[in-house]
Amino acid sequence: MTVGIVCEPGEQANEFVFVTPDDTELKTGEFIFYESSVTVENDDGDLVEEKKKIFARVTSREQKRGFPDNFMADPGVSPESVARRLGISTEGVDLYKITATIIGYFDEKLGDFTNPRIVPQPGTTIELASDTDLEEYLTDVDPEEEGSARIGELLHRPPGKTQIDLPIDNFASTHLSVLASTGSGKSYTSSVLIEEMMQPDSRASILIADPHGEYGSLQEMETDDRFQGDDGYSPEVKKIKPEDIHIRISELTVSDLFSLLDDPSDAQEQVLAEAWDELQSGSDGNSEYISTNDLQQKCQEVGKEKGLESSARALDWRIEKALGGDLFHHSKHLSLPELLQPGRCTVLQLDTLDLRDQQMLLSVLFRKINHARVEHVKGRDSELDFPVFTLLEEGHRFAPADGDARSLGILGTILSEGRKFGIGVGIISQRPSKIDDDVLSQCKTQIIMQIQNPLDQDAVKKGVEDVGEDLLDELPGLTPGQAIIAGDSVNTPFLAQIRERYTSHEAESLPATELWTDAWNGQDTEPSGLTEADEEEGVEDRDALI
Amino acid sequence: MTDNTEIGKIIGSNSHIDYICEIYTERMRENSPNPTDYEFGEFVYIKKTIENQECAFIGVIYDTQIVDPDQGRTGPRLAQPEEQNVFQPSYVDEKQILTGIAILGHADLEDGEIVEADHSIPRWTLEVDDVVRKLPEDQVVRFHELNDELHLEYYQRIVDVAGGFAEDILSQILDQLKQKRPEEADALDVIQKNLEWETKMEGM
Repeated sequence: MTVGIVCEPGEQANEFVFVTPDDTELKTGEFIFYESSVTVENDDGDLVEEKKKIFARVTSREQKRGFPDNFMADPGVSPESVARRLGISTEGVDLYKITATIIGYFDEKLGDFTNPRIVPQPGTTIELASDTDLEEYLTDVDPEEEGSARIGELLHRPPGKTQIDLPIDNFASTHLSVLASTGSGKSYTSSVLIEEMMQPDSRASILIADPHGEYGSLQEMETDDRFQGDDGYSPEVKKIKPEDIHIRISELTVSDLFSLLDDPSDAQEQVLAEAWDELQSGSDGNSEYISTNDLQQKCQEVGKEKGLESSARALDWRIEKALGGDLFHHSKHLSLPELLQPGRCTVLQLDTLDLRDQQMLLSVLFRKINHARVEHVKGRDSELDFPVFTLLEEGHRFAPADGDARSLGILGTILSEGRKFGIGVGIISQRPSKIDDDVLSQCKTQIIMQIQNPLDQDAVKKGVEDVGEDLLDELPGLTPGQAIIAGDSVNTPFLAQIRERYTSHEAESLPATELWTDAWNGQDTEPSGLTEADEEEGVEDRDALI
Repeated sequence: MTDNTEIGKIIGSNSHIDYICEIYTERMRENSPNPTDYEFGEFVYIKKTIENQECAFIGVIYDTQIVDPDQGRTGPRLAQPEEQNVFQPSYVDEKQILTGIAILGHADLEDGEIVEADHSIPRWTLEVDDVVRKLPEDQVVRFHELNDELHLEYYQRIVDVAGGFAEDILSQILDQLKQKRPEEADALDVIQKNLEWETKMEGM
């Protein structure tokens, strides 16, 4: 469909301006194209001129012609009515100047867009990109093939006209971030992705750190027909409750211990490090099972040997305080085969763990996962002979910008090297400004939803490289379920409407007024000590003359 | 039309839509028009038959000029002023009132009534000696009624032809129309205020 005619080049080298009448309603983010000859290499290696569709994205819209403001002087009188009375045509009055940024033509060999570096001539007709072209070119995945995640549809197109699929292999290896303010659909979107990854054609191994208990409803996948494979495959969703989550003390490192103890002195660190070394080396028996007692005793021994008894004594209560909780255990732990299996989605419900415990848990788990995957890739025996994908809700807790988290170091390592070892990370956060810059920029696929906080908007602008200003300007105006999808998994950023979940959504806000009313109704609201007027003491004297 | 007051005749034009009318004096007609019949802003019509269809050119008086050929002839006369009628009749007859008429549109007539008004420029021209008549008030409203709405599609033409006088003429027309059709007053108000603002503020 022809929607406009090019009138002039734009301000930037890749921009051009075209004029369109009102009825085309081209919005920011819409895709258009013009045809032009470009020089391409054919199969024989010769350079030939070929007519290609050069795609562009609408970046701004400015009214060029419309009714004058004076026609709108009376809110009760429409400008059309005034114009009609003056014999001015009311049809096709508005003209818009639309600025578009060239994306390029789709190069089948590269599987990506190539920018021809020339803007169209004035007079060139501009057409609306077809739904099928966009489905084919925006992401590099065939929806019919394995490994595609149907995320939703293009926002500007009528419902049901386009289907957008993301390549699971891509975002599961080069990491993903889902950034949005509360209530914009972060966990909803993440659940959609998980649903796609758990389909019979993907059978992913996923670990979710769920501090709010929002992912429990994914269990519905186990019985939903849409997730059942012809070969008997059925996804398994394993919820691990906070009381079942343990870290085996022997899995900690000495620096983990240092971070757990409140500000140990140098002497205490020396004693602890030596005691830990001895316990880990297994000289006293089984190094796999170390209890708090073992550690305390060993510290006493080392303290005696080194003449640092007072430090050892001071360590005693510190160790008790740090490791005495339910989280740390001398033998119980979360084993990797228990957590991660193909076709299994494990939800770690962290709701009652405090922040430091959550960070420590993730730190230990990530270290184990990383170690297991490195071992596998190096050809050694390993518990994980398949790639894994981990999803971190409240990602800013585990990779904070101020660096104060035990989990940040290993997370940084996995994000920079995980691709080689088959560990994918998905960071979900409502506070992008509170996430470590490096962590954010390592997530190569971004799903960004409504963000109103200016600091968070700036963080997204800094951390997300290839999303244009025009799209980021849309952030405050997006409604729940609408997202900008950008990064390595797509060929160019675009606005999408996230599809409906197959499983039910649990992260709705609490119906506070309803709960208050119910709670009030449940109370004994009858005031005590009430007496009928006629039964009051001294009632017989009431009418007597004073 | 009930009122058939003839006010003058066409004697020339400045353009296809801008005509000059000479107002009948008492020497030309027995019942010469009163000054209120050819006042500033008065609607007039000229009846014509074109292709066997009776139609009317509708216009408005946007300007008036008085002409006295005696002006400047201050030399002595052979006759006393009251006798000059007898001795120099042509001088007296040449005192004229000329009005400028801007053509606003045309309309088909049936039984002398406007049936289909059109605010576009008529393709045909008036001719010298065509009789100019005063347009009755009810027909003024009818001329503005298009599709059950009051229209002033000639707006810009009046502005072009009448120049500085356009605002007064249009205001007068709008006031008249608002009075006749109060239900349309809001929309006409928007046009009137816009007109006042543009013409008065531009001069500031």
